[in-house]
Amino acid sequence: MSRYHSEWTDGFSDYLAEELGEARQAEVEAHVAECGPCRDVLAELRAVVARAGELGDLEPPRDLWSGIASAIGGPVRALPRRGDPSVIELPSARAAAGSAVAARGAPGRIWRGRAGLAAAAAGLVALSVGTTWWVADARMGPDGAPGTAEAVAGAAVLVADGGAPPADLASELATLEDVLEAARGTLDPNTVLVLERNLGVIEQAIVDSREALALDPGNAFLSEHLERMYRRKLVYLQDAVRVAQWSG
Amino acid sequence: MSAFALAVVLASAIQSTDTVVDVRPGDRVVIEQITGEITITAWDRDALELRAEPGGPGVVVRRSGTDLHVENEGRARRRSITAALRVPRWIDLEVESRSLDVSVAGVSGAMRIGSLSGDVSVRDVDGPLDVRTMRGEIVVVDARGTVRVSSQSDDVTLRRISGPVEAHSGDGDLLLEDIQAETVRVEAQDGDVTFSGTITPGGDYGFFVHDGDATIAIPDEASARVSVSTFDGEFRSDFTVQVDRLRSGRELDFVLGSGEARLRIEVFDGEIRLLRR
Amino acid sequence: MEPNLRGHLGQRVPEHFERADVGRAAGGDQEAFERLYRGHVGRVYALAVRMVGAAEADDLTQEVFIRAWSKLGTFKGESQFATWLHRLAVNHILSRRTVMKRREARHFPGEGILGRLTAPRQRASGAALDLEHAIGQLPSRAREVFVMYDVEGFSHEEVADALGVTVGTSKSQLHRARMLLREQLS
Repeated sequence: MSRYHSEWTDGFSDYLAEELGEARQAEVEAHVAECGPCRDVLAELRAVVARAGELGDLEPPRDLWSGIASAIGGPVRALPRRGDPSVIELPSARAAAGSAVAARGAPGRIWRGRAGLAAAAAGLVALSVGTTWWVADARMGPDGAPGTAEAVAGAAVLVADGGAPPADLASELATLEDVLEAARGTLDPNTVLVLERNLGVIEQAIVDSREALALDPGNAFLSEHLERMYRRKLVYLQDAVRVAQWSG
Repeated sequence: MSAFALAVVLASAIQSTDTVVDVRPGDRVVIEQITGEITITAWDRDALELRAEPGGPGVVVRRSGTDLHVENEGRARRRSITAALRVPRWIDLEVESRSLDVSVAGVSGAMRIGSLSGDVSVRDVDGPLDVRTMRGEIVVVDARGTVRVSSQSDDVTLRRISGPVEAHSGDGDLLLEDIQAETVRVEAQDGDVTFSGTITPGGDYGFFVHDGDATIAIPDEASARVSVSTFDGEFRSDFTVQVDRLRSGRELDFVLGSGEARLRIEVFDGEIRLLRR
Repeated sequence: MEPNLRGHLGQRVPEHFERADVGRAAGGDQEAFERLYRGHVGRVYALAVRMVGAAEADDLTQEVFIRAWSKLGTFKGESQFATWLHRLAVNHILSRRTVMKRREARHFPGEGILGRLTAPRQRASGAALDLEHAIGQLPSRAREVFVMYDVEGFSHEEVADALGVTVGTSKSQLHRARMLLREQLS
């Protein structure tokens, strides 16, 4: 049985998407009319595409809800949610809602326009004075001059019980997250995609670290590591707010 | 279209956008909100030369005090340009853009480059360098001042750097080769870190990885107090280590040579390899 | 365990009630969120299985819904909840797959490709099951592009942007996937 011609079949996906241009589309059709093996390939590709489009939902083999419910409902949460100790709620209507659960971003919140975003970011500059771009480390000041080497802190636990961030960080993280949420409506979808995905990487690192610390609460390495992840999140959010200003 | 109009169109299509502006000591070049690709090289004139692709969207140079702004002409903010800039070697440079590939060579002034998306390549520079991208690879070769770079999504490559180094990638690998610095700090969330360089007495070297491997190659004769920590991974060493302190089963301290520098390697989930360079 | 095949509709909640449930869930009502979960888990799980394989799909699906719970306050209702959830799922699955690939490469040197570590499935009658099985056997990049383009309906520009490749790579990987599937299924 003769084989199909790859110099023709290589273009079949573009042909199916009608991206070849009129002349070339016609050439493909003419070839396929004469060549059985290529005609078969085209028909099979069409079938693959059609079947792919018909693929439906899949039911998980076991009920996943209980795992989700315990993660979102218990007092010690393994995964972050709004109202988590990593985010300090701003004094606002959210506090009036009466519970940490309800404090998650009430529907209908007002968002700030661009002027508000710039003002908020300017305010953040004031808040961030003394926080270098780089994760806080006495070795290098903002002008890049290396500082004196110092011994790493010993077994001091640097994050609060339960893996919450240091208080100074928690407040600033919450403020920055609010500013970024407010900016979401002004950004194009590609920018939002990039910002969200990058934040996802950091948040997953925080989740991993908190889970590990929950298993070994006195572990100084894990505490320091988790603190470093929180501070990295801070730097990231500061950069993201700045990007949001350019991009809006 | 009349013959005259056609001639005007043809003439403007043929000419390149070519601007030369005098530059004074203390001036700074600021490139903002350009989209596309820009190449910046140093020359010996105290002038800035801008060349943009003929027929493309206009790019202009506008002086505002000591800042020379390179920006889109009119409102063509998102149209993509290809431009080349020649600047005095000593000039300071600031670039901030949503989507711009940037290439810089030969500049000695202070440079700050930030973008949402775009690759950045820098070579043969002397001044403090600060590069941040959300998405985009960063490559720095032959730098003699402070180098601070961060890519949230892509790889970072540093070669032949002799000033203090701070490098970060959120979701990409970091490769540092031939680093001769007293201070090095490298951080990766999801990515491997590979380092080879000198260990200076009194120096401070820190490598922090959340999910990825750390491969650190140092000279045979390196003299450092070493701390290695991993939550889930292995530590392998070319050096014979006598463990001074073992903490929590997964953190150990030891000394190489006379312990004159400090070296920390901390990996949450991944392997640590300490190699001879 | 093998996933069970269902049709498109699953346990969908009519749109009007769904919007009300979104509002309640955003205010902390877990029962309302469970209804949303039941209505959409099939689609999220399907995406997870096809992108990274059955072995990791359970965990990923749970993570997506836990993340959705924490981000409900950001859903402003301009699009349908399903669209919003779907985008969140795609983002999360893509960000996690890089982590999983690194882990797989570390623990299974020489395997390298996540798709090959998918739990093997029995060949059974039914064209859909054949196609699901065949998708699981694709090389990872081709599989990701095929699932995003032909199954989920993203454009090449969207696929390229999400996966960090060029549009040309997206097109060539799509064609490669289709040709491999064609061979497997014929």
